[in-house]
Amino acid sequence: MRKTIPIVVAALAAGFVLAALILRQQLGGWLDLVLNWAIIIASAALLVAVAALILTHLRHIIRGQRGFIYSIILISAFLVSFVGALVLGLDNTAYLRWVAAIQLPLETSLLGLAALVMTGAALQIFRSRGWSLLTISFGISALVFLVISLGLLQALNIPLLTTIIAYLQRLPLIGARGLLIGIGIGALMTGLRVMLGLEKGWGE
Amino acid sequence: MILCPHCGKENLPVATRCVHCGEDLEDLFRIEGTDPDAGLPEEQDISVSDLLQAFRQEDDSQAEKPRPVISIGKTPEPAASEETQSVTPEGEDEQTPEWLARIRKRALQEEDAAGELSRKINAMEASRAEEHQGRVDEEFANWIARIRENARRENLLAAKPAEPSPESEEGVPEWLRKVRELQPQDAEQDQPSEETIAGFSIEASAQEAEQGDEPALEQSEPAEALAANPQEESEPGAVPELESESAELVLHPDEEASPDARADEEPSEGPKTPELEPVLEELGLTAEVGALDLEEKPSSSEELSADLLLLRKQKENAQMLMTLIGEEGKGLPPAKTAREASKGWYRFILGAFLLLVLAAVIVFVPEARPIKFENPTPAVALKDALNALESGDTVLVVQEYQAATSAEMEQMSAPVLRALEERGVKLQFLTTHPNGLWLSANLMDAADIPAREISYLAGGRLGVLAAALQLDESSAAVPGALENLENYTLILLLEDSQADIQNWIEQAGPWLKAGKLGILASSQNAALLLPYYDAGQLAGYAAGTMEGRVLADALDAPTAGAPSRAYQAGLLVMIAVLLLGMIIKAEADSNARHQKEPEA
Repeated sequence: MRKTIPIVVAALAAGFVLAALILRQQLGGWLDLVLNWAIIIASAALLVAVAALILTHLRHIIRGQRGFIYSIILISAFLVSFVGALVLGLDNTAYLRWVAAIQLPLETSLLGLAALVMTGAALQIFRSRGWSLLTISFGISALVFLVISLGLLQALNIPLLTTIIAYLQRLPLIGARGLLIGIGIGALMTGLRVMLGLEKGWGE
Repeated sequence: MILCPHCGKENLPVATRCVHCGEDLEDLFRIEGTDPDAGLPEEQDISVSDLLQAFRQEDDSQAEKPRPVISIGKTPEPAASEETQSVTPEGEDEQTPEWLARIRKRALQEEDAAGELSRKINAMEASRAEEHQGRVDEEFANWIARIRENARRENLLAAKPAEPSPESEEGVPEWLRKVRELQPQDAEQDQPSEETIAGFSIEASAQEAEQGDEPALEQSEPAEALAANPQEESEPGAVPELESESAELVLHPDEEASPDARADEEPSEGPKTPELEPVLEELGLTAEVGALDLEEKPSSSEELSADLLLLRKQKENAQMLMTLIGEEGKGLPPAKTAREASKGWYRFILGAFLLLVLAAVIVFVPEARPIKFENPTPAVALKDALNALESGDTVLVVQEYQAATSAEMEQMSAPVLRALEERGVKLQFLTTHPNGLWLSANLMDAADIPAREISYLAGGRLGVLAAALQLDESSAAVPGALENLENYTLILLLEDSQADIQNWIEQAGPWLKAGKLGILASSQNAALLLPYYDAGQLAGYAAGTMEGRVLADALDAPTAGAPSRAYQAGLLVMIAVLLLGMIIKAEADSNARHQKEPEA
């Protein structure tokens, strides 16, 4: 029973949405209602996730676990943002700029660190994996597309070179199409598995 | 006169050594007029004591049964000894050689014939013993040493199988000789024990023989072990020698029990039994030999292990020494210290060069601004869609990028928004990310357009689907300011995430007319957008700062270049690091090859 109900609910919801998309005139109103329920449930789930996160870090602080200082910082930032939004409102320009002043450096630094890590990985890949078809092709392709991304070659305005660059820039489309096809087939199969009750990703 | 077997010259019959060449004369007891080999089996070795024993036998002695023969290291053999033949009474007269009969006859006529001969023999034996004692002692010591080494090696093999080592011609293993050479002190310490063994047993066996057969057999067991162990695994050359000498250690208890016989033996060799005389004569040993240390056992496994450990260590040292000797005279390889030093300078110069190039590019090289650069087809299509907008048209700007990519996205979208604002196009902002709420103000500032409210569409993918369907105007999930998506002339997506792009294309796209969706995306999404454009699901898109700049130029809205220069600097750093990784790897391979070449 515990496993059967979610499967039945998921299968019915998927079947109803699929039917409503096809029979839009007849089931349009019900579809809007079901979508609202789904959005509310997703928002509630987000709140539950936030609550679980706060409780976890509170436990870290109470138990004095290693790194509880970061838990204090996280909870403090959350409380300030939450209380500020409640008091000032989401439309307050000062509040939005204050949050952006924190968020921008953090995320930019994170992306910069990711770039450094990737650069270090590129530096180590030849030492760790040696000379192989994979590493050589990786190195050549990375160098080619980095140089192309600089835009210096395009600035030379040489027709032949421009044609070659345009040709090279279309090479990744092959991989992109493969990715998209894989994503589409995967989504279709996942949907079918959910409708048929074969996908049991919840509660386990 | 007798002839020297070595030089062939004549010598006196009583001479014990050739006066011409000094060779020992073997035919010392040849009697003129007799054939020394007559009546004797060729295989048997008749010694002086045998002769004396034969002389003392009475002609009319009673028949005696063959005495039991006890041999050391071998089972008793009934006819293995000469004594058994000499005391055989039945038919002896017929088998007695002629020369023996003559001697016996002469002995009957002369009172002290045998005594004179015995004295001569004793004198000769003494002279020979003095000359050959040292050499025989040495040979016997070597023989015992080989036995001991064979026993030790057997224990070694039993304790721990070792690699078969080459053996010398003397039967001594190669590794053992090395150990002896490396441990001269131990060898010196072993020497007395070897001498003790050399002095074994002949006396001890004689004493035990006096006690009877069984004690003699029991005491002779260690000797058997010494003889039997090497017989199993020792060299073929050593085993027969041991067997032959062991076989000669024959004891006759009957004779030991006979007081007459003992009395006859005492004048010549003291406590020694006459059966041992041949051995003593051959070995050159006399009464001063010591007792055998029968308790001496092969070295324990621990001692052998210690020897092995030492041997391995010494082998390593020897290998190192051989390497050094092999390299002697050769030219010194390129000094590694010099190579390392040059490598450090090489890396320093390379790094400094890359940094200088990077700094020069950033500071001195003018910004790459293609004069006649043409955007790819999707960007041109987007430009056409934007140029088609007229005053009064409404454009929904969906802001869905993260703060980390805000610089790139603002650089691309700000000129477009400014151009649309100047053209009188109504802009309405929407976001599905909380980030969009506080990033919109920066975007509006960068675009230099009046600040306006941004709507938040909750629910992500479901919210996009609900906004696209929008069957009910009072839907709680869709913001009130958001109209039906069909009412917007263009929906311009500012995206840095492929997932968000797919949400709009796949959830809202099917419910919208063709050409409603235009995208300004970060450069990494360019490849994934082209299939959607080729499928007709997009009005157009521009990805990356380069295409955004060309698009802005096409819209007569030039952009600032500072972020573009930083972007180029970052790309240059990545190129430099990638090249450095390749160079370091190539250098490491080169060093490895240089290190292998001298070894080869």
